[in-house]
Amino acid sequence: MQASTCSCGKTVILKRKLCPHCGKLMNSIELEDDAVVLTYTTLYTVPEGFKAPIFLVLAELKKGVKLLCGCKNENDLEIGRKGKIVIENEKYFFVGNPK
Amino acid sequence: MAKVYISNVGMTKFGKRKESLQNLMNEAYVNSGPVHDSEIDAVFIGCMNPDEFVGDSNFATLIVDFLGLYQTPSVRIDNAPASGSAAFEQAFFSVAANHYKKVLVLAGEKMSDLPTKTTTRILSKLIDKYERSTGATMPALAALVTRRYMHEYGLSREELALAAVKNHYNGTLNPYAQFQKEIKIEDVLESKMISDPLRLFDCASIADGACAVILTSNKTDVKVTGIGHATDYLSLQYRDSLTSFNATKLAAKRAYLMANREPKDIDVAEVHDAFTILEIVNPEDLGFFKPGKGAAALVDGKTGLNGYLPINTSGGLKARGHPVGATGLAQICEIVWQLRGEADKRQISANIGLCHNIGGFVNNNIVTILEKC
Repeated sequence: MQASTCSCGKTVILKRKLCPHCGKLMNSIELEDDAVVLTYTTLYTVPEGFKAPIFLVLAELKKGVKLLCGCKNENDLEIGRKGKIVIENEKYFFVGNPK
Repeated sequence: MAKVYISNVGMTKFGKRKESLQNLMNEAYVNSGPVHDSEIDAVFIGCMNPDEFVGDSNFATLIVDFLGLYQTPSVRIDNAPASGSAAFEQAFFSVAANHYKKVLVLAGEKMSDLPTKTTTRILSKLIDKYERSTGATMPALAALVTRRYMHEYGLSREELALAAVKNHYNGTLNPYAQFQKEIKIEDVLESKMISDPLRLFDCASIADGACAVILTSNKTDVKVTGIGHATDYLSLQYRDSLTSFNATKLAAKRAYLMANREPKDIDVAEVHDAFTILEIVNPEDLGFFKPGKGAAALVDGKTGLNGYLPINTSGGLKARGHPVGATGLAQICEIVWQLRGEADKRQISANIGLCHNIGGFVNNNIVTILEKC
């Protein structure tokens, strides 16, 4: 998982040049793919170009980093559910660990 | 710094309107009462996206030309759904700086010309590019916040629905409101699911409408005493909290400081309830209630018309309507009417009022305090 970290303490997901908190240059780091579901929704009214329904998860990774991503399995939609972030076709998805 | 007062306010009925956006703005201007065009020093226009919604750009010139305000300085301000209050803020600064004596603020949006899917796509552009690549929409982000708030504070689905029920009741008393029909909790719970757990009646709908306000350095009965403005990270995934919004807290802190007021001094407030969860979270962030207590205040009637702090007496975004660029100025109109005793059947007793307008998904917020004088 590519993330960016700053000397001010802010770490955010994805590659980013300037820290959104203090404006300093950020450094790229690799984050572990472990994640836990903070919240989720199933979206039925989708924008043009998308098919309904869409499962969305806001997950928490290490260092307090949050990631909004898709989810393929409705059974993984549960606050506190532990799992991993996988990348498919350059898109992020939450996949729950085997129960 | 010059003291800044409000002389005139006016608005159109909100809802699906067949008139053009410039005609709606003219209607709001005319409804603001007797105005002498030659005295208007400048025009500040709050409008989020005329380019895409109605196919016009250079909108500031279009409006002064349409209204016959030949040669008057004019600027359009896009600050997402906080465009109305941002135009008001910039107009305020121009009078406070003694550069202008009397300025007209117009705000409006015409959203109903396009198919809903297209409007949804346009509104989704308010969201960070990565986040919207997941398919996320504004209701989806609100749904994520709602579910987390339910988890942390035990908010029930029925309590959440009460926000829409209360605001629809207030809307029945407002002749300018888009929806002037009472609804029950069951109506909310049985409405179409948009983004679980949020249903259609949890969301402000698409609307057209416009508002007009005149600011002046000449003393009137309503003074602008505080304006606070703050931003937050564009991405929801960068935020520290999912159940509270820093941009509201900081904007409020700045407005209270400028007005030398505290949350307990506020008699009436219009808050940005684009989604029912915001009717619960915003009053907490504005300092009216402790975190997690916003729903209890709603259930106990504290924010109803007979409560000690009536919120969204106009019907709010939910019932008065939410033509995005117009909303911030519609809030100002409502508070001025309440302070002047001109709010008719929804009139409450108030000397100090507060408006809270959100841009983007709660990341560019403006809080304004108005006082009777």
